[in-house]
Amino acid sequence: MGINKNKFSFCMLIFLLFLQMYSVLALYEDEIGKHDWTRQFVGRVQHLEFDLPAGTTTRQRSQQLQGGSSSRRLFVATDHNVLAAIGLKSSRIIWRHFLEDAPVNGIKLCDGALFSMSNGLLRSWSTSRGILNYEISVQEQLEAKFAGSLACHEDPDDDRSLVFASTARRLVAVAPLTGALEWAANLDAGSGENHSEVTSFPNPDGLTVVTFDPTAGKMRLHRFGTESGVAKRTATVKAEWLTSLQRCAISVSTLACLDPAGSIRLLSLSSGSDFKPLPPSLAEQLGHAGPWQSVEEIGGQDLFQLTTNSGAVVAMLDASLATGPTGESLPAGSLLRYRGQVRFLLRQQGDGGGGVTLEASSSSSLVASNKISLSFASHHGRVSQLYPVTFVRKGGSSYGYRVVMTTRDADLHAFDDTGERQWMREESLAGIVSVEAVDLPSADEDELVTPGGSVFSSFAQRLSGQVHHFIHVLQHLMLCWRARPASQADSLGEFGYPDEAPAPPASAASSSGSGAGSLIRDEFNLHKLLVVATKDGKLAALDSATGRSVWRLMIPMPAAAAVAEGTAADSARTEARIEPLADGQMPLYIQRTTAHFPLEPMATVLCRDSSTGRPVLFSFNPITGIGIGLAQRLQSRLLQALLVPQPSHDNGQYIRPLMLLSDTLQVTLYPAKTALPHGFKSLNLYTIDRDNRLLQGYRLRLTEQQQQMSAISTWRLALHEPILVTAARRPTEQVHSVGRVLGNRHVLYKYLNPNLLAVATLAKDMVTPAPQIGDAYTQITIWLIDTVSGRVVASATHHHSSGPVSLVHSEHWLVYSLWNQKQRRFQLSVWELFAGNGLRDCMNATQPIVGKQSYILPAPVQHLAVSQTERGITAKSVLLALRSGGIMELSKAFLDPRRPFDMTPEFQEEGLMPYHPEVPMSTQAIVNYNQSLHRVEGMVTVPTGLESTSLLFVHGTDLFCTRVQPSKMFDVLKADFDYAFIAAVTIGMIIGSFVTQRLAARKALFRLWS
Amino acid sequence: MGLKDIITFAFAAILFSVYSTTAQSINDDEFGQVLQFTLEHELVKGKFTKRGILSVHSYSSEHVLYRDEAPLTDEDVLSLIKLAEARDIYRARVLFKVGNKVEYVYGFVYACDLLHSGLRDNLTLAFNSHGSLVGLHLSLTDSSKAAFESCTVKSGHLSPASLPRVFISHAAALRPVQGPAPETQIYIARVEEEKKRKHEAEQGDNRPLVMKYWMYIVPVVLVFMVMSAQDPNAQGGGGS
Repeated sequence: MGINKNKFSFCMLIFLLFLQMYSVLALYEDEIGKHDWTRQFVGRVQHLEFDLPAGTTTRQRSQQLQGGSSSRRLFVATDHNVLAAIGLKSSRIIWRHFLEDAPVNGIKLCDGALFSMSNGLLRSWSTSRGILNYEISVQEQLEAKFAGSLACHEDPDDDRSLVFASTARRLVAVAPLTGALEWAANLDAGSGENHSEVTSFPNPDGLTVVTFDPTAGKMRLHRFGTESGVAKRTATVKAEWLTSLQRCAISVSTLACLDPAGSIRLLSLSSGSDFKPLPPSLAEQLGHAGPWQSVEEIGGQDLFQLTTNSGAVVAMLDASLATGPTGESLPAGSLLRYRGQVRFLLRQQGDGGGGVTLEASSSSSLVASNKISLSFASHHGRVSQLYPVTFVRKGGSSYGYRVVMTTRDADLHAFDDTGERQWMREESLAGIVSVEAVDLPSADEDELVTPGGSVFSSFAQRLSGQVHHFIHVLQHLMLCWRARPASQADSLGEFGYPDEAPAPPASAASSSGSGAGSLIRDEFNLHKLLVVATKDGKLAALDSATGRSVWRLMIPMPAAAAVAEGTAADSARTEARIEPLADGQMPLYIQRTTAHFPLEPMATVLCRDSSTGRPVLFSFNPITGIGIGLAQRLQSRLLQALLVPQPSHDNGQYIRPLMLLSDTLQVTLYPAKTALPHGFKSLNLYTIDRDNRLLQGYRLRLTEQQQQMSAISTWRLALHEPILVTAARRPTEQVHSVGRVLGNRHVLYKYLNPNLLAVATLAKDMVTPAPQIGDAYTQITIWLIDTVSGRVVASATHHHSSGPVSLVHSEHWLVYSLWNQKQRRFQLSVWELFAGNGLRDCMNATQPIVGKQSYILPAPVQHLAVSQTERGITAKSVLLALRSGGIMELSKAFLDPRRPFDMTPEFQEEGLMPYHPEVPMSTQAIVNYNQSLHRVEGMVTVPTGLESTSLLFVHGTDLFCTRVQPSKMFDVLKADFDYAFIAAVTIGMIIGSFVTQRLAARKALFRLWS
Repeated sequence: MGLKDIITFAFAAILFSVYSTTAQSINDDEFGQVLQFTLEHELVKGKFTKRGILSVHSYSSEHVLYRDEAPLTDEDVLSLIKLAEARDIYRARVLFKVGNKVEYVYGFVYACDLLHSGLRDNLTLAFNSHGSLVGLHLSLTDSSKAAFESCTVKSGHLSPASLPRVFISHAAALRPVQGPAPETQIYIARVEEEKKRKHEAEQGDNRPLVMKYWMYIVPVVLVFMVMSAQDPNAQGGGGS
């Protein structure tokens, strides 16, 4: 082109500056995964099948196994209703399907295809690609809750296989390959309508189906052959004492059930017409008398494992009592499984973790009996399920085996027969319930100095802080030097499944140093730690840059001695687990940030103990994952827990105390020794009682003696209707501007009340007439409540609407989505609140002016979130998690109640868009491009050091983290910015201005002379 | 700004209507069922005593009547002063029945502020769309004088004799409004209008294309003609 730079440099400069303002809207292929990461999970495994039936001896199958050993896989069905194939070697998800919102009743491999039973539907899947072969509705009539059962009948003699699928009302026998219905039979499930249960077990000549109607306490037994749907035997058995078939185990010829007292009762499936208790003489042979906690079928001929608090017994229980129980005592926590001839016994001591041994023994000489010890970190907890598989080794002379097991934290582990762990999938992360982002430590010493101290003490504090910091840096460097060769070897561990070292001992902080080596705050504070708590009581920290788990920690159970009601707790000790609070939450509180350098940061999790229901508090260092002190069980139930807004400066601890309000209105602080911040007077808080549909406000204040806190209930609202969701403004949210400038230069002041709570309730719609088909309409009411004064600020009802409702409240606006039953579409509504007569206090303010507008949302939405930036200058974006798997970023400008129908110059000047009833959906606005995220449970946005950028973390079955820039990157120059050229031009212009100044001066001088 | 005016006007109208109606003027048959709620207040901690009656017309909008039933005794005034001295709150509750159970909702103001305002307060009852009582909010009629926690009453400064014995209260009801719905009708009407206008504009000028745009076509044709006239020379020059 030959542009003369010297001539047009100034124009070019302006032009280039304009060019820089445009940022790239599309994503290039090499940018995938640069600023974001995804991790895919399946959830806690509930059913597992290996790609070949265990213990097969057929020659043909063993060859098949050898030939295709590289593609060996396991099929799982999980609590997220996911059906997936996982590579047995690679641990990768080969394919994955999200089934409907109904539990998977079972999966079975039959004749080379995978079968699943859920929601009354039998489905056949191709094992290699996961393609649906066919789908059969077992029962024509749809029911709200389906019980189901699945069995496979494979006859080694003839080639005829059958898949049996049953609901509580109907049984079908299907040819596995074609899906042709061989025969069907109606099961009489009794009057229990939707609550009947069903279980089945194949026997040598067919199938046994047992249905149970808990309302009538009646059990029905059916024995079918393979050739026809005429039952060979039916019997009705009374079992009023039984609560659920889950307390039973079925095997070839016996059904063993536990009665409420914990003793065992047996029913012979071939001849029995009534349950028989175990005779005392035989019960003695078992070694334990009970009461039994659970009974399990373990894969043998009428072999059951009976478990008590202190141990377990394996017994062959035959209902005809022809052969007595041959009891074998096992220590507590043992698991026994049979695979054909091979017997797998897993023993674990205490809380698991480390002390796990596996014994494989066989009557046949093909499998070498051996005892191996399996090691995994203690944060996984006990082994909860064991899935062994045997296979023929190359050459066909001997057998080998693999074990896959799930631990209490829902992680999935695979071990080979030498005891070496092959892989581990962190399935616990599919159950995240709460997330808190923690800033990484930095060298910022500004906050080290206590405000209000004298000059000298401040100076001394600063010096000591600097020295501490210097020592820390030196230690860190040494650690890095020492850990270098080891970390190179570790880097073999593939992304997302890092090889795991045993948990660092709490005393030696140095061993965790190698893991935390890269954990230093970056320039713009974009790199953070995401501390998460899962529903299984596990804590973990994810690196926001890579998604890797930095540390993992199981919340320890508080010591039993601390329990007052010792006996009650003892009886259920084996069952006691850490679980989320009643509302499914497990809040995390950052009590001390990383800003107070020599002091460790501190976070606290609030959960509860499943056996007593008492709240449990546990503190830990969010950067290293090392527990601070022991877990504490509180003696009283909590109404609310809240972090005091300011840190207490007492003793230089900088801990923000956690204020706990018990149900007896006692106020305590955690940690107990922390003092309240100076100048603390009172605190208002509120509770949401979903069971009684009540909202209640409390005021906590210091008593006259300045020692004790007292609480008093200030207001109470009775909503009468079930509470669906609530949303409040984030306490840390920054609002940049208090008003909106209109086109006519007037200012519309925002109604900025930090105490607003938005509540959505559901009720019957009395106004809209019921539709001709289906249920009557419901209505959703949105309430905006001031939580200090208990005032209803605004409320509005949406007729013929239902959930899912998702609410987002930020600044002065509220956005929510709901389902319109009449129009059959999703709807997005926005409210903006403006102060009527200037700014007033929250107690006596007049009602704000509420502007409202609604839009059609052309896609189903699961969750809403809003972007958060450090100063609140950047425009806000609403993030929508769509059911289709996309996360859509929608500028708040599209959701503005002031969008007019008729544009005037004034509106144009204000920058308003004309109203359009539909929300624009563009593929470019999908921030996760093609990485679909399923079953999104929550979205968390975190401000970063860059005003333009906020971090978005999405959790659910999949995890996803990316950067969101609602106003694009206005505060960062692009990577390919031409610094040299700009510098040259600037210097050139400066020199030019000097020269021209000189020349002008000379010219002026000449003019004066002349 | 229009919206603001309307709201202010509406608010004034509500206040006016509350002022103007008297206790006897409402005919039950005209307005349907009249709901009566008992208002109780807490002058001594933990002990609620009757204060008055609130009458609401279940499905009418904002009309609430308040009738003071139990004027304060000297003792009551003293306990109110005691509450104020302790910087405590004054709670009032409204009772209602759910099935056979008596439930209640309550709200509060600072006792000290209430004393300073001369027992003038606003009572706002919030209802849900089915007409059930959801909440009670108390506020001072003159909210600009409220001092909340910093409000103080010096001992002996207020004498019971100087205080009024009757509450001067204004009551109002707040009910959920209709939620917003997508304005498809208006939008479609606008689009249709626009289309019609465009159509009319097009119909007004139905001359042929050449006649309409001759001023653009002629220069282009001219340029082409000039270019094609020069071309043979250029080619000839290149080829030789």
